[in-house]
Amino acid sequence: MTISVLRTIILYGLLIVAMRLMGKRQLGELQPTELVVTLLLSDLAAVPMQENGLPLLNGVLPILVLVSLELLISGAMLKSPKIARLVSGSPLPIIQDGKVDEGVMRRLRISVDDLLESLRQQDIFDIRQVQYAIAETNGHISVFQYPKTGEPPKQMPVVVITDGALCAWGMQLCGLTEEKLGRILHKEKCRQEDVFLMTATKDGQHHLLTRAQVKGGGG
Amino acid sequence: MKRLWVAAVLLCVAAGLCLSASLYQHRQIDRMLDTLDRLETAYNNENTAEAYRFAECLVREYRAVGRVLYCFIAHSDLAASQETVTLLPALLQHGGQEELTMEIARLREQLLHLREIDDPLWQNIL
Repeated sequence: MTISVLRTIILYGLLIVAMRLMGKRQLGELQPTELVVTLLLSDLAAVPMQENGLPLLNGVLPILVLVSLELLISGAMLKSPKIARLVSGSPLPIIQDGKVDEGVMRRLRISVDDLLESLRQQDIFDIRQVQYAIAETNGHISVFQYPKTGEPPKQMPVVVITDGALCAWGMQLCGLTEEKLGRILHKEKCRQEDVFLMTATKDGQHHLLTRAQVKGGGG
Repeated sequence: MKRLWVAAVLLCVAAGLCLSASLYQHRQIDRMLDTLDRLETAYNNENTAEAYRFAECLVREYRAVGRVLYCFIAHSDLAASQETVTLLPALLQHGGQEELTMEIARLREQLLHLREIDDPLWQNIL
């Protein structure tokens, strides 16, 4: 019994260190890989806590390896948008310009009830108020509403370049082609690789943030 | 960036631990198998005193090695071979030839199984 208690204390401390290393505070914001690791960590820690006949290393080492792999993959995802898309997927628009995309909903296996529930949780009780609804990679649905009466019309800014890489879904959403984007960048005298963040709207407005303008950025 | 370095270090430590554990396991079990072979040869040459000496040596070796092996091998995997090793000196003093031969054969199989138990072989992984 003493051994179980000692192992529990050791594994508990190790799990806290592991979660701090991974750097997420709220469970609700976990990406798919992080959710997998969190679920696995709890199972890995529980087995040697209860089974005194198993070496503690059989729990400690897999936990450390999982955390390391998660850190390496998240580092790779930061460096390469392709890897990020492969691992976490891309945000998908469920509602565009007020029109519901049933194909996207089928692809995401989201029912109408699920969609309405997500809207209600954001205090939106009339789907007609929604201009854009985007299913994020962590499952959350983000909403951009139509302007209220009296407010000027507005378009949702969409990310088209992030960290020097083109964002295909964003370009599709705002109807921007690579050619048009090239012309904008040429006008701004900026190369794609030097762009930290660029957003654009359907009505042709755009906002550009270069790496040089970002604190701690290069160039 | 710091976290990436931590991750790389952790992976290297894990790999290093696995490799050194595997090398230690192989080396120590090979040593015990060698002692077992000498025990069997001595017994077959009717040199019971020497066979008994090797049996005691084997028990001591197993106890010393077991303290480390228990850190990374499941206790249930080590328990059976530990029982067999402990039995050998008693069998040499009081047991019959058939029984001793059987136990030596059993211990050899158990040690060979222990030797491979943590190897990255397909049968172990799957």
